[in-house]
Amino acid sequence: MRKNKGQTRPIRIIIILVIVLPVIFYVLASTIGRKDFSLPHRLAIEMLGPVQTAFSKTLDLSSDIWHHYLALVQVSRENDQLRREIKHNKKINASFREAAAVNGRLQKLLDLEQSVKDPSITAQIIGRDPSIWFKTLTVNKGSSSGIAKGMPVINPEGVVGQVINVSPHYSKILAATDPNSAIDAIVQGNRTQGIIKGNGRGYQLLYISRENIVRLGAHIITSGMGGIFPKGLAIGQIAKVIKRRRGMFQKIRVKPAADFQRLEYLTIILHRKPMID
Amino acid sequence: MRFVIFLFLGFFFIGLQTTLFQALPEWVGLPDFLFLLIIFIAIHFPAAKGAVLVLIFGILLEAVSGYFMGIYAIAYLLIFFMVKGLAAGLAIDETNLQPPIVAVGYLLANGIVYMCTAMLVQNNLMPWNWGEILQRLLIIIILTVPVSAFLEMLWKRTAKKDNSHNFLLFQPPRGNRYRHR
Repeated sequence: MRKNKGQTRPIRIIIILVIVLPVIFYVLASTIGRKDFSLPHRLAIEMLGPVQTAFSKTLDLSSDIWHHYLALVQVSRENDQLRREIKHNKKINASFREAAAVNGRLQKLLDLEQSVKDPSITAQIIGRDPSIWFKTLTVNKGSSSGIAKGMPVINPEGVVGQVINVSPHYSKILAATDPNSAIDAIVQGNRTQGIIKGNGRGYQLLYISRENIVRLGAHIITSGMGGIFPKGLAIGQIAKVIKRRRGMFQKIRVKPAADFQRLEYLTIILHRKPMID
Repeated sequence: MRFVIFLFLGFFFIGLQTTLFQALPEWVGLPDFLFLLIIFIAIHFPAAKGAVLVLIFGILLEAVSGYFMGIYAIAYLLIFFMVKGLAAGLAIDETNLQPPIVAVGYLLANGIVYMCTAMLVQNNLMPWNWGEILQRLLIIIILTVPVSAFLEMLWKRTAKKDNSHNFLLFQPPRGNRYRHR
């Protein structure tokens, strides 16, 4: 028995030195610091995707049961509240219709070209980034559905982020709340331009000079300047403005229009020319 | 057999952490079962098999987390070899020694991921958030003992299976089996 152990040990060491270590070094050296998916990463997301889909469906099913059966106690209260909201929304809707009509007339008057909308695709979120340091999402559509790196991602509330990696059936999205995300933006009221950057939980509006008056609650929209996001998409509302004694710019915090905690389905705009590397 | 079982377990844990655990209330935090699995692998698996498993877990996690490739793989491999080195000199497979190892390893892994990302993106980095890190650290320390017990059970059960499948070494008892009683 001892003899066998003694014989297998050098073989194991040779296997480690000749096969395992070079493979590990090769994989690490070929991937470290890259932003694109390498073949192992593409394989990894393709294999993890079905697992995440299964778990997401389980989560949906359980939350569905919770909302429809166990939360019946709250239904009557919610009903009253919803009736009040409907009344309120009807009023808002009427004012929006009027605004849309005015807008339509002004557009005709100014002879603006009708912007051609790019085709889009809806995808479901199947996974979220588990780490503290990054804000990414995984969705169940990939390059086989026409998605490519750099495409903008929105939901009915506003901007969500942009595609950073794609595999045939899944894509990874960099949320706009991630510090690596930067979007060209305009303050809707006074048309001041700035850059929206993520800070983990919300956004910061950068490069707004001290002279510009920015009001709390003002809406921030995409400027369309970066070439990634179409113009006029909702980004958020100004939540805090700090004017320091020194420095050229104001410190402005923005509350995202999209509720990143409750995202489920996203719309990916199939932009023809993705702009990021 | 063990390799495949623990590989599937890694898949399962990453699946859980990126989906179901995300629905947990914020005050609970996000339990990192994968990290506990990596520590267990470092203590119990042989170096080559363990390193390959940990590398696969790193790649799997990179596919769904962060934006730079290779960072998790490096961080986890460093932690793996560090714990492996400690395991050679200390009896850290004992339950009471594992929580401190896990705690130090977890902080170190986060530090490596943070430093590597900082080197690649400079300014565009999430601020180091001690509150959230300590919250996650507390959960992982609490979970160390039960998760280790579960993995230990799995380890022993798969060992039995390994022997029973190895029909070349397995020999049925011969003669009077009551003789030794």
